[in-house]
Amino acid sequence: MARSKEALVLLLDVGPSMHSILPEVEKLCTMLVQKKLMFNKNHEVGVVLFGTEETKNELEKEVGGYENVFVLRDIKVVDADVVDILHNIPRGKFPGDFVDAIVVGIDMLIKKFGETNKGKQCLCLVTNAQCPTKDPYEGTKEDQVDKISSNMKAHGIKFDCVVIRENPVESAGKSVIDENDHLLNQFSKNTISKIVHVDSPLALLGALRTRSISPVTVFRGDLELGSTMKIKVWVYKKTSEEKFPALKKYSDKAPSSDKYATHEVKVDFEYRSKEDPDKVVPPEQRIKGYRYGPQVIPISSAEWDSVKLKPDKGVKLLGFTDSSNIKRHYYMKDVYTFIPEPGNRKAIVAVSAIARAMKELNKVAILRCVWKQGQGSVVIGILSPNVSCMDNIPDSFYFNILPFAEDVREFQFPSFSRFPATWLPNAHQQEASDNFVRMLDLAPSDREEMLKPEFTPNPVLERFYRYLDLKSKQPDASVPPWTAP
Amino acid sequence: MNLDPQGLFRDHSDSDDEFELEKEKDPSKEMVVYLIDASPKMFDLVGNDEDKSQTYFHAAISSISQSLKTQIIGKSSDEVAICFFNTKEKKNLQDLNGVFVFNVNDREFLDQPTAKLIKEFSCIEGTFMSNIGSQYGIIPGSRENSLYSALWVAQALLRKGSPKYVSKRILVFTNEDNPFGNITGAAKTDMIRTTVQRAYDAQEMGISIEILPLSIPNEPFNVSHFYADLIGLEGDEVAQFLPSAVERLEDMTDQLTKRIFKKRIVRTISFSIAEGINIEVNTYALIRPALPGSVTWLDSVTNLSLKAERSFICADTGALVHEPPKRFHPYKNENVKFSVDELSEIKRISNGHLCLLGFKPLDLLKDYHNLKPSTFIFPTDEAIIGSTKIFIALHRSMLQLKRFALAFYGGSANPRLVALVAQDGVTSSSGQVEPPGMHMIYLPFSDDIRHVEELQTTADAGVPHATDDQIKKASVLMKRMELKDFSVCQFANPGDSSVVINK
Repeated sequence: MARSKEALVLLLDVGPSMHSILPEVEKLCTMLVQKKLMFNKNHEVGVVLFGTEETKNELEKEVGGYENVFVLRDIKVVDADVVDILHNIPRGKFPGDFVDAIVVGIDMLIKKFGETNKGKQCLCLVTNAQCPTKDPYEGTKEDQVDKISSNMKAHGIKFDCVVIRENPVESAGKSVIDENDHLLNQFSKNTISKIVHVDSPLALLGALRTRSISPVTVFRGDLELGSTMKIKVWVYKKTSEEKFPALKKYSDKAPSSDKYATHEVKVDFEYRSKEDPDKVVPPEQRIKGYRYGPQVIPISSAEWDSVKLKPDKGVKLLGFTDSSNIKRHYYMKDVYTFIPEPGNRKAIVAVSAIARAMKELNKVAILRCVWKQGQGSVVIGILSPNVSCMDNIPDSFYFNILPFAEDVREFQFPSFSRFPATWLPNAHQQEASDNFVRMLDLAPSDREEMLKPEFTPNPVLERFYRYLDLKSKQPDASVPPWTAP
Repeated sequence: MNLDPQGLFRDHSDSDDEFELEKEKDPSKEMVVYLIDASPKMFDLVGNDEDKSQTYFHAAISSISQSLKTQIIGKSSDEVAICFFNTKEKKNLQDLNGVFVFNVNDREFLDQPTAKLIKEFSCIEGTFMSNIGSQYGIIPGSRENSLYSALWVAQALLRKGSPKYVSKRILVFTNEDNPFGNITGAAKTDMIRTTVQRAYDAQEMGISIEILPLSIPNEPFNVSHFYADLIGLEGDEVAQFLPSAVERLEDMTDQLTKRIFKKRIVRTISFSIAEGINIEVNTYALIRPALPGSVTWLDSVTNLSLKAERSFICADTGALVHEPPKRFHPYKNENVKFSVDELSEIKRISNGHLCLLGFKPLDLLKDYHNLKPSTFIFPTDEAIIGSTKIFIALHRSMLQLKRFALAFYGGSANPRLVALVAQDGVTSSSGQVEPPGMHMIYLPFSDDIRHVEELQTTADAGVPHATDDQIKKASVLMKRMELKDFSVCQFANPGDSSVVINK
């Protein structure tokens, strides 16, 4: 079974105005490709630079034009070379024209795949879109973008774009920026595209999803609103902690000449009786016991089975309530997304109606869920609306699990107003505190929100992957020192 | 008590965790003596006859049974003793009148609670009058002082373990706020003095005495009559202590149960607000998934516990490997090796403290910014004076300006961005519903967020969204299905297999 390969063409702006941010672009791209090398070995990657001094691309040879666009690497299966190339991207001397770069990228993909592999191809553009694009030979720039994006749609090519602008631009450049932003937004009319704006190096590092995980549904079935009302939904995980990779233990017992040695270590468990530590108890003689205080009560597996709750699979609505009834800090675990069954018009509209009504009235829904038949655990949680602001993305819900009565410890704490006066701030101190809070504003109105979780990568993971790459070339390298961004 | 039985906060990079069947890291253990007043006054009915009325005594027994059950499920190694005072019969090592220490076979007076103890204690009311009996222990004309004796017995029970590692408490359940009210003259002053002295002596030895008052609407329990002195409440603290009057038995039981749980601090951490300004806060785990007790292996022949031992064996040669020093990860067709030290170094990017980064409006904290249960933060002036003042100032500012704080919380294993959300105290008839303080919410990184909605985007014009009319119909439906008085955690976990254990 051949899984169609995903192909990505990176289009990187290396013009002079980008030079200051290129080190971060290098970090971002190497991480992206490194993860493909580790987790998606059969993906293909190509790299195109624009704004370069030299010109090297097929379109220039075939039809002329498309200057300063340089194909650094053709579309090939990902390998160690492309990681190395991206460590050191050559700087360009000319302002970059992203439209040219996009056309070259499309051309590369079409030449490679033709009519095959639709939906698995992606152009990823990283630029500040600060420089003017050239006028086309005929028609307006908008017309040109329309033609290009229709072509992309015909071949199932997706478009990801990261626009990085660190400093607010002086008014002279504003009209160019506005025009470029407008053109980029045009792409979403015809293609599946995502355009992200960032204004800091840290946010750039988190702006691209560096690891593609095929999402798996946790549940597919009916959201039962009552005995007669059912809506077909699919449930996925929205957040899931990406853990530090589990590293296997290494055994150096096998000689290095042995090519088939795995160098792995197995863990063996032996059970001994506490009374007679010399005697090993074989598996047939073991049963499970349940700890209840200081005693242990033996329970055979037949008894376990009969006792284990075997609820029916299903998602049932228990009712609606004001969103203010449920405080944010009661959310217990990872978050799930409920989407209407894809392609099912009735479901999409039903979900949309309820989500929008919930938002208008400030209400949330309480659900009781069993994801799999005979699973043995029930969750109760809150469904909150996610009204989409894009025309081509349906409305959906977020689901957060709530605690059961026994999960909550109701400790009592003294009320602040009952504290002695020396522990309370006076009016002057309170004012100073208010000003302090106002001052350290991470989301001022004239900028993008800083340290948005969606754009902040896990620093420990980043550090590990870079070190992994470093160690593969220099086995004795020590851990590089940490500098906070 | 294991506050994190699921290991949600443990570092999972080490796959040795599956082996932790018997691991019980209990740095602090608790010993509690429940001192229950059994005088005839305790057998008055609570509330008016319209309720399915029960006695004060019943409220005390219910709430203690409840907390014992929770304790035993929580795999705790804490020890308890149950002691009645103002009883007819006596049973205690000091042979004092009016004090009866309740116990069952196979355990000492002060010991972990067992299934049998809980079972017999829960139904003690049926046989209480005949077996133990109720009688006033402090009466004019007699030198008997049941409260004094009870404190003595309780203190003696707690005479094991060092106060350094063990927390010792005496919890007094009573509805009599003036135990010496009937005594007059010199005898009264004398008895009060000796009783209070007895309590002080116990407190000097590291035992904390707490009063769990049972009061009724028209006659609230007044600690300033006697008990304030006994437990050492002064001035403002007395006012703080006001138990809210209860109308219903359930509220009384709820209040009691809440007071029984001693707040267990998870960690004391330093909170860095700005260059050179650090305050100290305590963290508490108010919400954690409660797992039923752990499973352990037994020998099916003897029903005795087994101890598991593990050994490491080389997969290639079968040779025994001693605690393997290195780990590896495949990359580019070869195995890249790391030492355990190098791995710890990679994870060590902060010093384990909370570091403030700034503030954001509350509406930027989205519903999907969640991964784990939250942790509650409350200030403490124990190490750094002034911590509480700064904390409260920030707390008030955040509530006023409707902002949350963004901070970096670096444990040695798993540093994360966190949101600190201020919460004002909320009280109701059943006591404090929300404590005042801040909740630390663990935020996902970009690596942890999945963009599933985008899977469904199509290149076509758009997906249908509901019309205003459809939204109105949905609103009508929602109003019909409104849940009145919904509160979080009103449901018990139906999958709780501890229900089974009634053998």
